Amino acid sequence: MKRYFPAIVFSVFAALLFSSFSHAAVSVTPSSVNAVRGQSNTVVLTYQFSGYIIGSGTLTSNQGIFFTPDIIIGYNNLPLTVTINNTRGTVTETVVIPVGVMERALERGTAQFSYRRVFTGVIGTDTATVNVTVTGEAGGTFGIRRIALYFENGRSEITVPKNMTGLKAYADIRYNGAGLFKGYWEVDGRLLSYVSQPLSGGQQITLATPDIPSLPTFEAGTHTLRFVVTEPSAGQALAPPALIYFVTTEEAGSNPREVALKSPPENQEVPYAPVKCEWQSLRAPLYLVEFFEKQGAKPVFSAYTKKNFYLLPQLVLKKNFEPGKTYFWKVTGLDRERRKVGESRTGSFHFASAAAEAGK
Amino acid sequence: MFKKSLCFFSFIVMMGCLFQSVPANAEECIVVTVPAENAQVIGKRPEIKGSFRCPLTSGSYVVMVDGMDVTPLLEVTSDGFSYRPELMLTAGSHVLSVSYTGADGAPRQFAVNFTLRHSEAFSEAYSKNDLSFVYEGALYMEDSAEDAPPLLYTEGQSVAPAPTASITRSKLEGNLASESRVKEGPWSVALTTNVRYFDQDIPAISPLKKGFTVANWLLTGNYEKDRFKMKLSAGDVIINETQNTIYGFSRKGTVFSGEAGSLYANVFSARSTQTYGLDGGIGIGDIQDDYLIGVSGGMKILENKVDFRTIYITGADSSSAGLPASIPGSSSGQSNVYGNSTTTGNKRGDVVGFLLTTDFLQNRLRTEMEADFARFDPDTADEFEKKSASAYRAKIGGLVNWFTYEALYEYVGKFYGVIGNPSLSKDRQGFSLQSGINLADQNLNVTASRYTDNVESDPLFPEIVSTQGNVSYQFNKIPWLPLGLTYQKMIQESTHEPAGSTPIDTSTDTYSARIGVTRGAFSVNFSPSYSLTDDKTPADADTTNIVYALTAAYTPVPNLSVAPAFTWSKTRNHATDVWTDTYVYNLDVRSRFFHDRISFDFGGTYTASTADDHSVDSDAWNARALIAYRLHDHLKTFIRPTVALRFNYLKNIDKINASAQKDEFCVFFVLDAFIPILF
Repeated sequence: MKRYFPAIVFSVFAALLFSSFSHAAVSVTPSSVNAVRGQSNTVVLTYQFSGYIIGSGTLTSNQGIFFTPDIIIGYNNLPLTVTINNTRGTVTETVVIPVGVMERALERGTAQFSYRRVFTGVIGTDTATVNVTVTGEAGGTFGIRRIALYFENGRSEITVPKNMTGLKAYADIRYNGAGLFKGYWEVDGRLLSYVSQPLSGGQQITLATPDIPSLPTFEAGTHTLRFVVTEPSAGQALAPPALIYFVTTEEAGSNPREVALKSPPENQEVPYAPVKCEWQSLRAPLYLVEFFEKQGAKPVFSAYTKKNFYLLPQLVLKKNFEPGKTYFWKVTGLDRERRKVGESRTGSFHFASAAAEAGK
Repeated sequence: MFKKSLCFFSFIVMMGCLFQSVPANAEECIVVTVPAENAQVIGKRPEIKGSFRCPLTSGSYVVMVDGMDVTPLLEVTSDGFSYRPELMLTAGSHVLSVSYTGADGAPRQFAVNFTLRHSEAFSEAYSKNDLSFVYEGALYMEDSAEDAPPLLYTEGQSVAPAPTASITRSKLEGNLASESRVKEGPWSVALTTNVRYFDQDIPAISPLKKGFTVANWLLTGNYEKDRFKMKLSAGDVIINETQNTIYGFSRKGTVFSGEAGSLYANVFSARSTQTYGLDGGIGIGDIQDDYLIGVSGGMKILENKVDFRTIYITGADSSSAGLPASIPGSSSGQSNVYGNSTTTGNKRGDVVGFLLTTDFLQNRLRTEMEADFARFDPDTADEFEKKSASAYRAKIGGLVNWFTYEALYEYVGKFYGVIGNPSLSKDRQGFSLQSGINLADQNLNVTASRYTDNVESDPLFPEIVSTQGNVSYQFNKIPWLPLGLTYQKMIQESTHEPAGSTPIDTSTDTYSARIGVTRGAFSVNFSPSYSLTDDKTPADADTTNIVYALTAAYTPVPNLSVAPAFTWSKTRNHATDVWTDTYVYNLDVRSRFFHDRISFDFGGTYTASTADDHSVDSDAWNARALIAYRLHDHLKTFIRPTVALRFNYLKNIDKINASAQKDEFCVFFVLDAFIPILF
């Protein structure tokens, strides 16, 4: 019995080891991917190992290979190691499928090939295989190819004054396939706006930051704005791009408030005489009054005033204004730095004709 | 005889009066002492002075500069007036005109013409510089999860760590915004730049760098005389050519443009990659795999109604996603990239393009026809060389009163690609139609498009047809109640599928609306949206997406603004019958007190995500607030300082992944200053 004891121990050990091998398995997620022709594709693969009855250990794969049924078409020479603990282990790798690999497959008359890794170690050997299908841009798994962020100046950086309103950023997103797209705008770590919409067909969309809530400009200094994609998430490997905007300590003018025009009433006929133009006071230090013959045209006359009314001087009336004609007028309020703080709509009035004046 | 003599002498006197030049100020009640008639004045805001030679009451005279009444801004004494323009006057000719009522009651008027030069050497020369300085120091910090792993967000997707994942305790920043220009005759040179200083107690996250950097800069030189123009730009330039070549391309580079009558030409050189600061230089020089060089030229004829342009561009692009290829690791270890994030691979190619545009009827009928021929290699590392392909585009459209229309046909070849235009879709052809009716109180827009891919019918690939239609209606007749409705249909179908490929047959219907109410200082907008994607293949991957968005703005007084926003997104995966809800609440408050000396600003977000299979259940609070006091009114100097307290709050509650929880509160002291410097 003693003579056979080592053999018995060896047999038991071999049986256990064989059991370990036979139950051990590796699954890879996703098990099949689509790769878009004409560009390199980046996919994230997760290998999950299970069923290793014998404790812990490591498994290593020295390289991954791309192959069609009849030939190897490429290699990925980066090693990958997984640690098995308590029969389980997980490892993730980011694989770039180069353009050349896809072209070699297509040259051989097939749009399908595979990517395989063989993991070996003391505790066993396992093989994981991913099926790859080459597609066009419209088909294939829903995935993001490119995200380009920019401000209104077309660049990824902008400098704006403090409290500026209306700062907008844009994201051009190129994608393959179709599906439900989700993501969010984030500024300085704060989620600003959430996006959720189905995408199909067009291959590119442009998103803009919302008006409410707007990009914050009340803090001076550097701010970072990102757009983070949450779906599609499978195989998503693009790093979220970032924009930089700097808020200076110079204050932008506050939002122009509406200035209500009081007199003369809209489209009123007034005598051909110095007319008093009056408007709602904004408590602004300075107002600019402009008069036009046609809306949107160059002013025929303008004036600064510190009060909330302006009396058209007789001297100016005869020179710049004619009886019987309609004139448009507008008021702009300015602060001490001569920035616009208020603006009226364009009002109008018309002078009585010379005949009417003569009649009177 | 006597009568004849009298007539003769009267005639002489009369002619003498007619031909005698009356000095501008002779016998005038108002005399302009500065500037003199036809004087050349050196300065940017020249002082204007006048004196009174007879009693004048307020309102009896008007002083105008370039036709603008500045009488209320004059500094008036009993002897006269003086005035200095608030803003810099442009170089060149100006007119100072004075009108007044003379002692005899008759209106009098005279004008003084003068020429302004900003300096002796240059007719126009100024340098406007604004210096900003910001210091932040932490007064209080509380972080309960300093060593927490990266955040898990919504549907379980790991989120790339935000730039503020590590909290800075002190930060010093400065920015010099400079705009300078000199002009003499037909020549002018301008430089705009932002020079920045950045430092903090923790490492800076790319692309930010510690120390001094030039955040952006642009140097331009112009020559313009008669019909001949030249312009040279270097720095952060934007290159615009055509849609199928490059357009809106913003990089470090140099652009030269010339125009002579109806002919024009552009030559440009730029870096392909997006860079920050001085990296990239002026885009000239041999930088392997990172360059773009081009030339374009054209001609405008028939009063600029016809424009023919030709373009040639060659370049290489080594832009990558920011991740090394095939590295082992988790996706949560990603970092940010600057500006754009794209697929890897060194690309190289060139393109020749032709563009013909016409506009004979003043925007009522415009046409565009473009043809481009490219050779493009998406990855120079392999054995495959550049492949040739072409692209064509024809568009017709216009605006007739309230009616707009446009029809577009496009063809982009299988291997078409252009350095500098990575957003181009290739291997597709199709058309799109658009028409719109835009009335004062109503708008109706209809669009339709149909595109197919696999333009060469490669049997290894299916042909996928994408059809899309959109109807949008806006009703604004009630000013305080704007309404809008939109319906969109998207259909994607595949045909001629090769063996082993997955067919596509999906239809997506999207219904959305917009309702707004504006009453005085209060406005609110509600935008619901419902979309259903019907997957008609055996995979049956249907999804439903519902979004409710509510935004409001309340400005009861000019110095107070409150803007809340709420978004509820609800999606359903029909295959698993799982509903996922995401709620986002935003609140922005802006307020000013005590003549704008004190300000309180707040921006906060609360986000909650749940899934009815309990795979997701998380909340997040994030808010920043600033209370500031402006010291400028007290100091009365050219330096405008402000002191402030800044509050940051961040809290994450994740009932699925407890290790991702976080609770962080910080208070910072902030000192900033603004110093304007004008030369």
